[in-house]
Amino acid sequence: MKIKFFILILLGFAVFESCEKTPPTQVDGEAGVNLFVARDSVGTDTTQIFTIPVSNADIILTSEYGTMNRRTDEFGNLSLRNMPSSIYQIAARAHHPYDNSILLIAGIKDVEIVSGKTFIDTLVTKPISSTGIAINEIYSCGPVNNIFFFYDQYIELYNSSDSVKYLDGMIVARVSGQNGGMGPGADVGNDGDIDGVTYIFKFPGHPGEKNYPFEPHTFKVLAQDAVDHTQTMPTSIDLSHADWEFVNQLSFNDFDNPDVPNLYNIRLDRTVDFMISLTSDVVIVTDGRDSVWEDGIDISTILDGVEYQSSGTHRLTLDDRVDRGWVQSAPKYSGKSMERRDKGVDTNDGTLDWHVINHPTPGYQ
Amino acid sequence: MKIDSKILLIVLFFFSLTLFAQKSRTAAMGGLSFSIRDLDESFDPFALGGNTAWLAESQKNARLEITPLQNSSYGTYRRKYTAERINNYGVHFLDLKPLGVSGTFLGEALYDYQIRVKNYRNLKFNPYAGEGFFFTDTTTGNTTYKGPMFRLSHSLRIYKNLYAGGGVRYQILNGLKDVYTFGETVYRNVEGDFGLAYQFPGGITLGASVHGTSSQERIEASDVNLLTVRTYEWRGETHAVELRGSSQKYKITKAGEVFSGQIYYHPNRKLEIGVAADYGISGSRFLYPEGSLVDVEDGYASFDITEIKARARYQVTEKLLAGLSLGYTDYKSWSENSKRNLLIWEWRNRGAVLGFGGSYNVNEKFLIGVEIESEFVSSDSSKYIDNHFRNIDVTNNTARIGIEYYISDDLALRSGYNFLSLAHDFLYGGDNVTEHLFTFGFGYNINDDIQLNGMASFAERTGSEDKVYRSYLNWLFSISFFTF
Repeated sequence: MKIKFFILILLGFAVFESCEKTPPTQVDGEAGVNLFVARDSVGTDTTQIFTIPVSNADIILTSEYGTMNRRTDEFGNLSLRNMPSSIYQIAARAHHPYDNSILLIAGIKDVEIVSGKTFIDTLVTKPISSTGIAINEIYSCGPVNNIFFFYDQYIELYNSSDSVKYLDGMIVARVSGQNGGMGPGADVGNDGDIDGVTYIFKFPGHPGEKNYPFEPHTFKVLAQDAVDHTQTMPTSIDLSHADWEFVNQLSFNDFDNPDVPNLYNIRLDRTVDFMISLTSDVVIVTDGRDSVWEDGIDISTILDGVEYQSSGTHRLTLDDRVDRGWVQSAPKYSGKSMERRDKGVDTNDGTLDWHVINHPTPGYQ
Repeated sequence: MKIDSKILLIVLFFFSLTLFAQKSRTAAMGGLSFSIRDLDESFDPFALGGNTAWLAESQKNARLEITPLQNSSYGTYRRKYTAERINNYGVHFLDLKPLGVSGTFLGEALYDYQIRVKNYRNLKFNPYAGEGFFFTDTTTGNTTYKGPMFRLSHSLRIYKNLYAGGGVRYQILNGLKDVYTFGETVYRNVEGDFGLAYQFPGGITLGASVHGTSSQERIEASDVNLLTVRTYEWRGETHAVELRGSSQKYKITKAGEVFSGQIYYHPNRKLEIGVAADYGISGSRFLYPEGSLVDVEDGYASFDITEIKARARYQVTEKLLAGLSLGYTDYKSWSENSKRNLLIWEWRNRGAVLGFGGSYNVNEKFLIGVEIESEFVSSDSSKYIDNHFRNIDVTNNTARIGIEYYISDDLALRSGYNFLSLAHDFLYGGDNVTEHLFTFGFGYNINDDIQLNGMASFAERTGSEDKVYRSYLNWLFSISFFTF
């Protein structure tokens, strides 16, 4: 009886089975990258077109391990060793040596860089000259606080062209509807528009009018409430000198600074101020030609759109004709902001164009 | 001193079952072990090899022991994720009861309360366990772990000279980091052991045992205000995956077995020889939830351990006892990035220990003992993902001296001193480290049924460079009842 009892105990050790595995034969941390960044010879004193190395170009490598920034050497080369295996997004950007307003960009997406191998590629940059209005900064997460204060949100626009643009009739919208499961900013029905508009506010006037100029290479700050928020929350910011203010004329308590011109709500079933999600949302700016939000906003009228998300494993839902990447947002109530790496430069890839900065900079302070 | 974190070979996971009694007498005498005669320092299969089958023969006196204790360590000499100060408070209860033909019963309970002050980012209960993974947040705070441990063991003679024994151990701890992510931990550990021992004529005993362990650590980091928390899942020490959300969960599961064999030779009162050999394998899985139901394995760490230890004691004269200690260890481990099936860290640590010493009864009241031990260690570490490689061959030396003096028949005072010279400190990573340890204690027989024991120790471990130090302050006080 005693022996049987102890045999039972012995059998009980099956519970602790450790399922020993065999070690992998490949090791991590031995991947390599050799990149050559080049541009064509257009703009130089030659009639032949050939590739010229781009020295000192910013190389941005993004993977599950975060973002790595490096620079090419004087010969346009970048060599990296001992990298962990992962799927990388690689972008190169540099200012044109003869025209600082031209940005040279190139990128490759979803490159699987495998340990034990070296990824070799040439990135031939294309010149981008930003010639329009783009969203330059989104401050959405709120200042450092524990009372859920986020009323100092703002959106900053930048006119990167060399000519005066006009804001008359332009629209700023938040697109956070789920669009039948396709996610915010998707084109449901593939009919050339994006659906799911939550808030839609409009500059005064009509498209084509020229009453509200936007000078070249300047910023416009569109504040949720154009007040000095530091009076309420010391960790916040002063937006009393914002250029524009969102005001919902249907709201009884939305603050309106009389010294700051307003964008007004055109979605009449909404009675609150223009608020965006702290960490996950889609914001678009349109030229205002399509203001019928119910059937979606025509993609052809969208000047710029940005999707920002908190999850590192998020999949883009914004239609890729508006932007091909999403921005990793700042944490809630961290006092941080999201800004373009180069002011106003929109390569239509939010993942590579944007980064998080430690403090909001309204008007590029 | 630059604290090197490339090689770390603390293997706390195994052999934790052998908690048993607090060895207050020998601990108060500078930690003398193989060159002193003591009830808890026998070389039998239970005391040396942890084979519960021999409990019935090893421990024949009933006792109930209650022991409050404290262990603290603090100082600037530490690893990155080691708390600046660790205070560990506990109350330990032990019940040892011989039951005649029904064998011997051993019950233990411990309530543990641990505070880790200035715990830098770390959210794991045991950040340095030889695994290539860490789980951190972004702040420094105080972490508290508390909870009970229970152990039940039973041993009996099942057939002539054949003994069998087994036991179970259960521990549960709740942890809380008091800042930012308010990381909550539920740590659960279950262990079981089973052993057989056979006593041959002539004083030879052979034993075999198996010891299984299964533990799980669940960590949940979430802000009380449902704000975003940022946690980092480290693969190696350079690369981490950032996780963000209002709540982040992480789970570590470990399972393993140790197979042991013991030889005990005790032909007469003069000579006692014990050999214990252990071979253990275990695996740790690092999981995070994907969706609400499925846990995905992000990393895996494997451990393979071989330990052989031999002890001998010989009564040279009526007053002089000589002791010898030999040991061999071989610890191997590798960690992999499970998603990509890639090796990220591989290490092996082999060591041999040689020690000798003796104790001398100057007279009936005064005992003095000395032990010297040298440990020869060869260690290889290849942290592929961090591109860190290191090979170390060192000799670490320890000298112990301890005394015991009986003021009266019922009151004994004890003291001791240790000097450690570590060419490489595998615990905290420093090179050329020295430690001075001072111990004090007493034993007092109130009457035939009640005994008091107490000990306190203070140690300071210092590095030769940068003047970093770590101090250790331990004490325990036990009251033992022999009839109850």
